[in-house]
Amino acid sequence: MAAAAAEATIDGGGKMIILISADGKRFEVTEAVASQSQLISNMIEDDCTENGVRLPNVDGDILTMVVDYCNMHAGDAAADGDTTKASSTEELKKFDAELVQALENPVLFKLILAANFLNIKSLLDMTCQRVADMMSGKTPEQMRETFSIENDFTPEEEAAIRQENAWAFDD
Amino acid sequence: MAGGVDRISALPDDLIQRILRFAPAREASSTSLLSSRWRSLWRSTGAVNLAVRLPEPDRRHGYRVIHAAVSSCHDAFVRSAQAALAAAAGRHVTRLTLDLRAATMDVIDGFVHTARPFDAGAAPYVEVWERISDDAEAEREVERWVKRGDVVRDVNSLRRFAIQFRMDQPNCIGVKLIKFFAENAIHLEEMRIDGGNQRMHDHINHMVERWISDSSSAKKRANHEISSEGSCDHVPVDSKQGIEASTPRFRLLPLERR
Repeated sequence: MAAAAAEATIDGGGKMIILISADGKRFEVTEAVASQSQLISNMIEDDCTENGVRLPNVDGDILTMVVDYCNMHAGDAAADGDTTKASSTEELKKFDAELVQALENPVLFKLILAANFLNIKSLLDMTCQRVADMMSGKTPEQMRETFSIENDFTPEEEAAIRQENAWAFDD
Repeated sequence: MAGGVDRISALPDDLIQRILRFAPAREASSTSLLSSRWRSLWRSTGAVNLAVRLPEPDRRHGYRVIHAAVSSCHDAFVRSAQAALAAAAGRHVTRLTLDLRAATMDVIDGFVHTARPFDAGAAPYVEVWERISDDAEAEREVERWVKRGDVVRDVNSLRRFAIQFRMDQPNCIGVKLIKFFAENAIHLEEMRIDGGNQRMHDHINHMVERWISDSSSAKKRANHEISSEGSCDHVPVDSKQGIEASTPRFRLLPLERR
């Protein structure tokens, strides 16, 4: 599916760009796909993508996910008003839902950092929403457990915080 | 995941706050208790996301929702909404969402009209869409609700507003709130409405236009514009946040004023 999307864009005359992950994996994508990253989009404008784009803080497995995501969403911005969009919107939604549901610690946080670094707003929002969903309905104790957060408050400090923000803690 | 690495606390402040922008107000503020790293991060997210889960109809009462249950739900909501907004006071709230979920519209109606005795069986099924603009009762209702809750006193500084609800009736709480915001939120740049119903989308555009032009506060602002055509898209919430699986997917109507 992703391959078909990429091909279509190549037929449309898109230029190819090589992305290189921290561990040296290379990904060939079209400009249209890559420019969903604001970072890369700026680099394309500045004409400095000739020798490939090195992404020293994104691992290959994370970049694979990012590239998949961008391939899926490549038509998004360009194809506004397109009549074929309705069906692809459904597909996209399904793809996003499956992607985000599968995300767990630690990949989820690596993906958030990558989306932030590459400046891909939709992916960043989606992954942040996922974390917020993981918090939803949980007590602070349960959140600590879920995210392995160590409580460094003294019981007195904890009591004081509970007090000043009581509405959030009573049931 | 026990004994794992704490990756979330290792994120930079702005990313943690971005996450908290999406969390319900109660959970977001309770993160102050996680650790000293989290102590005050939630305060500057600029978001207040209110969530209400209304009680289910009770089989033992002929599938009616008990008035007292709705009432206490309403009171709890108003209390926490006030507290959440007070906690965010002094900062620009740029995202305010209200997520109301109930089994039937009767329950939501009861939630809005909670000041008077509520009888689900006798809840009025109201009129047609077009009547809302001259429906004085509806206006009084939203005023009362807004005053009672003091939920939207920061409405002036509000820039973005998103609302998600199930629209079955022309004067349900969602529509009332939209009207209120259209008239009062003079800095509003974006309103995302997610009414779960095609009818909603068909009618809301010109209604909103009218509410804005009718409101004196909005008149003070020049050049507001409503994007009409091509403004519909899907709300970027995941499916489990939909009010009811059975309702059509929500529409998004960005309302822009410049």
